[in-house]
Amino acid sequence: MTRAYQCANVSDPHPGKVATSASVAAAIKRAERPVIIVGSELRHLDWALDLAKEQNIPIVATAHVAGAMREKGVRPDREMGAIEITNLLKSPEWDGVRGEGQHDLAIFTDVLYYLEAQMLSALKHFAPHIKTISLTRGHQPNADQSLPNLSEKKMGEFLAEIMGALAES
Amino acid sequence: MIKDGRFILDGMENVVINIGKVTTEEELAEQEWEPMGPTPKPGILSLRNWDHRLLKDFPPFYAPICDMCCLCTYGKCDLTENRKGACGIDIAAQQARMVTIACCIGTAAHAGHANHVLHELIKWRGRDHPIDLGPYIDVEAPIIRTVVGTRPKTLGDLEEILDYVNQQLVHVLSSTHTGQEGSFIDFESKALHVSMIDNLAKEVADIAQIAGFDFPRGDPDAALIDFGFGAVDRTKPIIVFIGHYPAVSVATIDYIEEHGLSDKIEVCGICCTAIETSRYSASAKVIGPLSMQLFFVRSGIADVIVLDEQCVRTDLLEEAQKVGAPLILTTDKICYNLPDVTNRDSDKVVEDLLNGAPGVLISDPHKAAKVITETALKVKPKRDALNHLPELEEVRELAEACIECGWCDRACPNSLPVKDAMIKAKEGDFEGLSNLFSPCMSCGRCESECKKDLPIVSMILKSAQEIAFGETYTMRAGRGPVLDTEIRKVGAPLVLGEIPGIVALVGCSNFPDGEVEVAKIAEEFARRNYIVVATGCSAMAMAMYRCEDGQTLYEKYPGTFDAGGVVNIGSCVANAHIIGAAIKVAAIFARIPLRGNFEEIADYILNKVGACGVAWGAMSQKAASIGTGTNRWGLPVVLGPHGSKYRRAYISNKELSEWELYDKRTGEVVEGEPAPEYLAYPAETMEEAIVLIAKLCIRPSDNAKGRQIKLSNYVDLYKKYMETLPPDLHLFVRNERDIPITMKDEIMEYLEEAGWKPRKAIGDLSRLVPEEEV
Ligand code: SF4
Ligand code: SF4
Ligand code: SF4
Repeated sequence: MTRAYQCANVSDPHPGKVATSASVAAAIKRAERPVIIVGSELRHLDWALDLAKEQNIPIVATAHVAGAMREKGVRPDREMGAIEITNLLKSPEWDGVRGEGQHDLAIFTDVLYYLEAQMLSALKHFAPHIKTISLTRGHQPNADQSLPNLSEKKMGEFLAEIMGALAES
Repeated sequence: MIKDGRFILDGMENVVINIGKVTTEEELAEQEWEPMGPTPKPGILSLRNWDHRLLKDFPPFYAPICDMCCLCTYGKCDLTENRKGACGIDIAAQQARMVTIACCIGTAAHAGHANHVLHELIKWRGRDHPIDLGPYIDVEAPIIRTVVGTRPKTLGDLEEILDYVNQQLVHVLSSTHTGQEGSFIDFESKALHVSMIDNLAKEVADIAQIAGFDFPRGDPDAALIDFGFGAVDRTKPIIVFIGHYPAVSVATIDYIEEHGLSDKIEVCGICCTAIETSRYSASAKVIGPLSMQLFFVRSGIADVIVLDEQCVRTDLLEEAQKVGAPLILTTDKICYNLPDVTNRDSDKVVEDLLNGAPGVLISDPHKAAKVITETALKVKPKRDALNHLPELEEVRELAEACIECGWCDRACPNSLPVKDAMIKAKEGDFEGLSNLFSPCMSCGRCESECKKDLPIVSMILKSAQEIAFGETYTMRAGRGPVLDTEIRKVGAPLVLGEIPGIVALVGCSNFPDGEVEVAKIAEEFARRNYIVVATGCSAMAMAMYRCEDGQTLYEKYPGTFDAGGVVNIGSCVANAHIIGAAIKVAAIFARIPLRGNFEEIADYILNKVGACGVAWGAMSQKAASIGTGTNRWGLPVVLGPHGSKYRRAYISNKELSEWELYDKRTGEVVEGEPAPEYLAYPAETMEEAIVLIAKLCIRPSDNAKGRQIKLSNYVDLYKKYMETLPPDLHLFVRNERDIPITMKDEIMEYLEEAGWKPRKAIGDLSRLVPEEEV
């Protein structure tokens, strides 16, 4: 069984699934209004920006990540704290990042592991309308699906495979 | 029937008839110092309306850290997907219940400290020992005045307050039993209530300490204390005190002085006991915050380790044995299954310890003082022969055993790269391990997980020995309360915004990236002329840093409670004085009566006192009650990212709701500003926190000049980290007069794009229903 990356972070009698690149690609394709949340670890920022651009998915920069994005000439759709975006995502009456309606899929990358675990927990309990994918370092059982625990190299390959699978479909 | 009371007959004004209890002159003066307000000694229900109003504007946001409950034998109960527990509780109420339990534990820790220290001091000094906070403090106990409605004059007067504290704590804790409260909002109200009680207990503890131990009485020039591992003279016997309760360290310093040993022994401390000890004697050294605990014990520097209470590692008996240092326990809170030798002859106890007894419990501070000192003197030569840390070559050999499984990284709360550091160390390159010293909190969880039982903490310490043992700093001793004279000076500019805010760095050392971030936050705001105050581990963490010019923050900035000051208020219990300062702004500047008048004071603080708490390393249940109590007074708190594990934030939702407040002058309902926007919010990074702190100091009462100053700080900081203007800027610009002059063009351009419209600046707002509507 895949354990949480921070190994004591087991909380749930119904843990989420271990993702494959195909299952992530399929969930993104299936979603009507996905959103990408990019956090402060900045390990795979370029990949997240590519995904946002190629799939036309809005991007929310947490912490002070918006500054790093601007350095790359990219303006995030929204910039706000991790808990603030989580609070909006769990509110059924929110109209979403682009005012087109509440999101049905949130993809997390690079948020601090333990903070992201809390965000995912809040959505799991209080936002039944939204599915979650965690592509941050290490497995997050609070997400509907999340990476297995991979080395940095393998993780790069995994992310590339997601892009490949999306391109194929 | 004639009622009890005091009667004066018409025409006989010089005749007073007392029926029932006879009123003394003193009691009469006590009754007349200020009319009693509506809520003296409030119970759970007395301030419930205030709590519900706060929680309407700042609703709780829950992020469960556990999806189950296992508090009774029905459990475990699965609370996911709208399931209820066997007792009927749902996941939201369960989170609020756990928050309430945490706040009760925190309150109990401070109340335990207060009970303990007060009773000890009454033994030492007597019940009639006066509470005298010096010539510059008339409002000596602002929390007690506001909550309880009394003015304590002697140590004995504080006992009645603790009776009330203990009673309220019992009531709130009892509500968390299976099958009592079922509403998350009312659990939150109880958490707020017990945490206000925590504030009260802390005020009792600290004014008792100041009066009884003669700690500084708000002295802005309190002594600069030597700080760091390198500050202790290792040629002398070294005693380290760890914890929070200072009676034993005070008694030990007295014993050392009385026996002419001051030049022969080093006394130092870790965590709040260190702050308290240095408030008593400027020659005591401070080693550092909680995050230094295991590092220091492993270093073997201490010849005798003394524990009192709160936030002490529970494995220090084992750790002390590893370095051959006798362990002396001094309170009923920590007993570690060691013998209670309080009534044994002191010389025999010293002998036992020298003959290899690992530790003892002595609950009498004076007896403990003798044993601690005599043992340190005699054990030192024995311990000199011991080596406590591995040599670097041994570190390399140990690293060779590492199987590179990576479980250490996964066990580490901050996922620090221990495995990579081990791989480097195998090659004799210790830089990786050395680099871990600063962000590592010496929690030891990596070691506990290690498949090869490697002493990772010792390996990090050895690799970083030059930084660890070489660096020394200074910390200003905890000065205690803010003076009334200081409040008179800063009251108006604070309320009008011309001093942009009070930034209060408080709480533990579970930092996401080491102590240095707290210092950087402090420096950023001191440079910008905010008033920076600090307590506890944060006050110590701030000392572990040198500014570009080589000075520590305490050397560079004055200790006055004024713009640009960096003020060490004291230990965790001294947090009460930070809330006390906000209360005193209401009392001294705005002349609002305090006595039994909680709601009016808290309402004033929320709308008018631009202050923000920062608990960057909040870890403990005490930090939960400190933060939650602060919130009830209307003061927002930014937490570090680990604070998300407290399960609950208080956040308004400026995109989805508007606030309806009362214009105090007209009584009309008006739309409020999101100022402050949150009451409790965990930020992800230091940079985010810095921007947020500047924003959370904005208040409706700012005049145009004050708002300009606050906005120029907010905008400047936002641009520094995000390279653009804040996306919510339009919410804080009431009209053109609020716009900082040097930023006018770009802000006007932004406001036009945002479709901003000027609005009336209403400074005198309230969340309390006007009397005519009640
Ligand atoms: S207290 Fe309630 S939720 Fe908790 S274990 Fe007992 S029945 Fe279940
Ligand atoms: S001791 Fe340091 S490296 Fe080890 S788990 Fe704790 S913080 Fe991480
Ligand atoms: S847990 Fe121990 S053996 Fe495994 S990588 Fe870490 S140090 Fe090496």
